[in-house]
Amino acid sequence: MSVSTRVALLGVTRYEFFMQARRWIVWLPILASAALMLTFVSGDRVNYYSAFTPAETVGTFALLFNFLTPLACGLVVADRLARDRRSHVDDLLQSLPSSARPRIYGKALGAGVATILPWFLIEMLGFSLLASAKHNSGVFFLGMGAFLAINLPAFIFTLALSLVLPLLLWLPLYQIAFVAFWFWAGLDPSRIVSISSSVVSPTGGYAAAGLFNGQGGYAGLANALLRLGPLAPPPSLGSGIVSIFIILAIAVGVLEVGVSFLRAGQRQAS
Amino acid sequence: MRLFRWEWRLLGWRIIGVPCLMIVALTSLTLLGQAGSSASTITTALLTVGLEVALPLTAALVAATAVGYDPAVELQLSLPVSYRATFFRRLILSCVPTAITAILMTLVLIATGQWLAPASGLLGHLVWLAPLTWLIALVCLLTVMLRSAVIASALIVVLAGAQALLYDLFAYTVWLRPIDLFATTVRFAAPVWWMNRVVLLVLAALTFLLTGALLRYPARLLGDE
Repeated sequence: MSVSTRVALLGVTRYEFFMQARRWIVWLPILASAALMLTFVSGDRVNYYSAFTPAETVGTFALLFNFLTPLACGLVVADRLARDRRSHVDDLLQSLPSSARPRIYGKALGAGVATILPWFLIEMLGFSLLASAKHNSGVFFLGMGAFLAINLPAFIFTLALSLVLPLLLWLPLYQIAFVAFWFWAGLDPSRIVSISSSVVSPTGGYAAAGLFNGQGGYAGLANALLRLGPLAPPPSLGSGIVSIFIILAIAVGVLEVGVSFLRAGQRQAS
Repeated sequence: MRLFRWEWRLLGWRIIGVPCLMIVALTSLTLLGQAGSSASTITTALLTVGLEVALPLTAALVAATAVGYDPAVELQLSLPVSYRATFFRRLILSCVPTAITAILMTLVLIATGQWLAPASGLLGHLVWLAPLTWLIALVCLLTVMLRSAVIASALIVVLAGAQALLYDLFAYTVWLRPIDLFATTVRFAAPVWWMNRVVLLVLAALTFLLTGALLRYPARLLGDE
């Protein structure tokens, strides 16, 4: 990476982060969707975790967030790049020496950190509630690992999709397609044909089941309607890690599509 | 009427595509559910959720985009025509394709015997009409209050998602039942179902009134979030 690219990437990241972190309204949907999961560890519901080991506890609880919070995160960043075009900043940015790649990756990094921050804080609050219920501070620290392995890849996947695809689709069309896809990818595969039992599912089931033995996901489910063969191996440490890498690779692929799209726009303008 | 035609041109034919996409998604899901042993139960549940929540959600997301951003709002505010009227005109137009889709889907569900609601005939349309009115009213209020269609849309999806995820909590908590979007799908008893639909409609009316009141202040409309 050349010095100018690094400087551009840092600049875009810093600008995007502060611009978004200061907009308190962006925090609302993320806080609401994440805080909802705290209802699963409050009152009597926390007893559900009493028979679980610390690893199972954090894996199960972290996986819960992936049903709704990545959706909220994806929807709030859905207009980041499309908005540049609407407010005509796009033309100005295209005239700058910085290339399309730092622009896309800088936006993803800056907007991503600002978006995931409220989610992280709420989830850590949930882990501290679980740690105090189980009288084991290890749950809290293990929870950080679960957040990185289960939630972060799902978040990066939705972030990439929501940054790039609204450039190609009308926003409400993208929003509907995205919401429908996310719910489908999390459905019970023994009742409806879905990818939720496979390693390519972005909902983090393999990371939860393979790395933490977490419950509630459908990773490698034996009675899935669609037999996916090598795509749905039994959950293990290896398949969990493979799943994380696949999700991240898809996200990078989508971001690269965005880079090509912006470059095509630049060429057209020049 | 001419104003409606202009607004329709501004919105474009693409707004028809959104409910069509939702119908394609619902049909695909139904087909994917055919492989299971309880296919007919799944089909009925999926189609009811589609009519009751997915289509109203579609209308809300389109409505947020339709009313959320106007590059010429300063010009609009300088005209003798009230911007409030333009706002609601756009809102009504943006919901038309989804409403037509929902009417057709209601007729199909009744004809095929997959009808779960305790009402039929014209009142049967309350299955989709009540949630649709409530969700578009809420999304409009949030869009005006927060000055961001994207954040308003995300909040609406979180609301619907929360009710789907915690459906048992909403169905068994007495004070949450009146605002449960899934009243038909979870098969509330007829009196509770009717109360739920009326409460949603009343809430929607109050929310529209509040939005109308907020639109009287031009300072709320100038400048993006």
